[in-house]
Amino acid sequence: MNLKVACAMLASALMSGSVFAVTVSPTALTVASGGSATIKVSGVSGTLSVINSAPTVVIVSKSDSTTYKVAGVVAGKAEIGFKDSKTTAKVTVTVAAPAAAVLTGRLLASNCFQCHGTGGSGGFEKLAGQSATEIYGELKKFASGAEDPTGIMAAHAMGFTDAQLNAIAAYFSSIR
Amino acid sequence: MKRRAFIQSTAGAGIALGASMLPFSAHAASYNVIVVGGGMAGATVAKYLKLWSRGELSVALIEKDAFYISNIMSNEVLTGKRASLGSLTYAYNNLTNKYGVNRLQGTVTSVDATNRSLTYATGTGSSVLTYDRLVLAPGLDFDLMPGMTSLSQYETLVPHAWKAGAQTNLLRSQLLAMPDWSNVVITIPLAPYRCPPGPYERACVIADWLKTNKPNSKVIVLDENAAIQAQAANFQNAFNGAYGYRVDYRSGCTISNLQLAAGAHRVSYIQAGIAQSVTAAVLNPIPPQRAPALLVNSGLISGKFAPVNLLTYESTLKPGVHIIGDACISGMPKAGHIGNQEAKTCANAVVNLLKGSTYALEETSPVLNSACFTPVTSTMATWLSAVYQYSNGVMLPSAQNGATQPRSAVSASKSNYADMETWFKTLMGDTFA
Repeated sequence: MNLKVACAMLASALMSGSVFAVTVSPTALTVASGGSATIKVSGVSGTLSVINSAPTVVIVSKSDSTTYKVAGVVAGKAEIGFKDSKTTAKVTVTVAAPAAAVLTGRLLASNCFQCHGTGGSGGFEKLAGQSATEIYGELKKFASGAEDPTGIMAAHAMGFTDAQLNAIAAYFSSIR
Repeated sequence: MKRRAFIQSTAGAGIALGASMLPFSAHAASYNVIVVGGGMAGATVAKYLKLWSRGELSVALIEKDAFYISNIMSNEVLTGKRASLGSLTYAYNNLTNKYGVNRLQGTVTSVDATNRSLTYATGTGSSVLTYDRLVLAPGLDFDLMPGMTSLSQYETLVPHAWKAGAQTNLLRSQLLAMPDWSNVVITIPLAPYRCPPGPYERACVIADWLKTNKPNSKVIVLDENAAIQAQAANFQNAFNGAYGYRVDYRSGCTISNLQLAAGAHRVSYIQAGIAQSVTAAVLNPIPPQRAPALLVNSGLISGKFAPVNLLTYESTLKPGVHIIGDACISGMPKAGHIGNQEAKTCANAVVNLLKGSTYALEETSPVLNSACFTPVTSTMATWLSAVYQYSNGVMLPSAQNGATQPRSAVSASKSNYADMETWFKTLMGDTFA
């Protein structure tokens, strides 16, 4: 074996070892039922496959080339494997039982999902996990005509009762 | 329910999609909920039934087409602003892969509400499926216009293009082929029809396109209604030249006859008791619409559409059958965004009925909030918004905060156009992704 070949073999060994292995962050996480979390993936060689041990417990979707979203469906545990051509990295996901409060206001708040994304993440401003006081305060400004009275958010907010605006704000603050 | 782990490939949905498209077995299968129709309402209800039951309800989605093509934004294909229908095409793989919906490609030929079963047919045969709850989201059927002899004339000669697809492409090609110094005639049926602002939007974007491409041609709108049905001030301004084109808008026109001849159609109509006619190089008749024959044959119709309880969207005529989207009588506009929210109201009710209040709370006073954006040129758009509150069995435009509903943009703008693209993308994501 000449030196050149040996070097190539060493480089190849390094590539299949720790330097070029798939890494994930975090390796364990807890997400609420109805909520979601993000997993960062790096060091991928070739095509990445996602192996979900419990697709009824969590839903995994790709956000971009290095980011995956994990949505909690039902209380339980799931192991998510990220497998490339050489290695597999695993994330343990625990889905917590939903708080009863998450159901209150959910259907009402789902009127916002068409523009602000399912669960209030996506599209226009993110609503999931924002402070209830802040969301309610903003909606009241729209409803009273104090802010952008001819805009589409004023048109929406004006159609809801005060109690309904409160319930929408409480819902979005209770989810992630 | 136990289910094997499955692999999601980042390269595509091929592996998991394959599992949902296994050959259909002849013996009866049973699901908690069967959804019929994979449009805006049907896709949304399938997704939210799975999401809100935390994956525990088995849900089948029966749709004959392989893909859904969005009606929303399809007027932009007519003018070439969107290069093709490709950007408006949605697959069902997210519903199957992400949410666990069972996708069945075929048609439903009959419903037996008493025995909670239906007959499902594919190219290779038919079988009986049973359900606890059935959700019908079948869209609409289109009537023949006076003087027409066959629905196939819409496919070959005078496309209505009111369901996006091949007819959209045909209408586009007719507009391209039309010589200058011609009329494009659009007819609008009496309300209720799908998408109240849609015909006026179509008149605007075609007139805007003609301004550059066939500057001596014009759009004539023959509206069977007495007035513009949505955003009247904005459309009237557009028709009067606010954006550099004009539309010849004629209201209260009852269409009496279409005399069809490729490139030289004649439309006869009666306006204020006087019989008149116009010629059309391109004729786009938007036909009267009704709930599909399946609903008529299943005893679910009163008049042209299906009456429902607006708390649950359950038929008032047959128990266990829910009807959502354009085929039901909701008192609200027939439109995709509204179909999406009717679907959520229905999904919430069905999950509550089948899984109880630890999964979904019973709703006794639903609110339905609608938004829709409307391009009036290739770069500018307006919007229409309405909030409906449930009251004594009906959905009424909200009167909260002293504000009348619906409400619309004060005028068209480029920033509205940018917002329209975010709205459309997010709405389709909430429905199909």
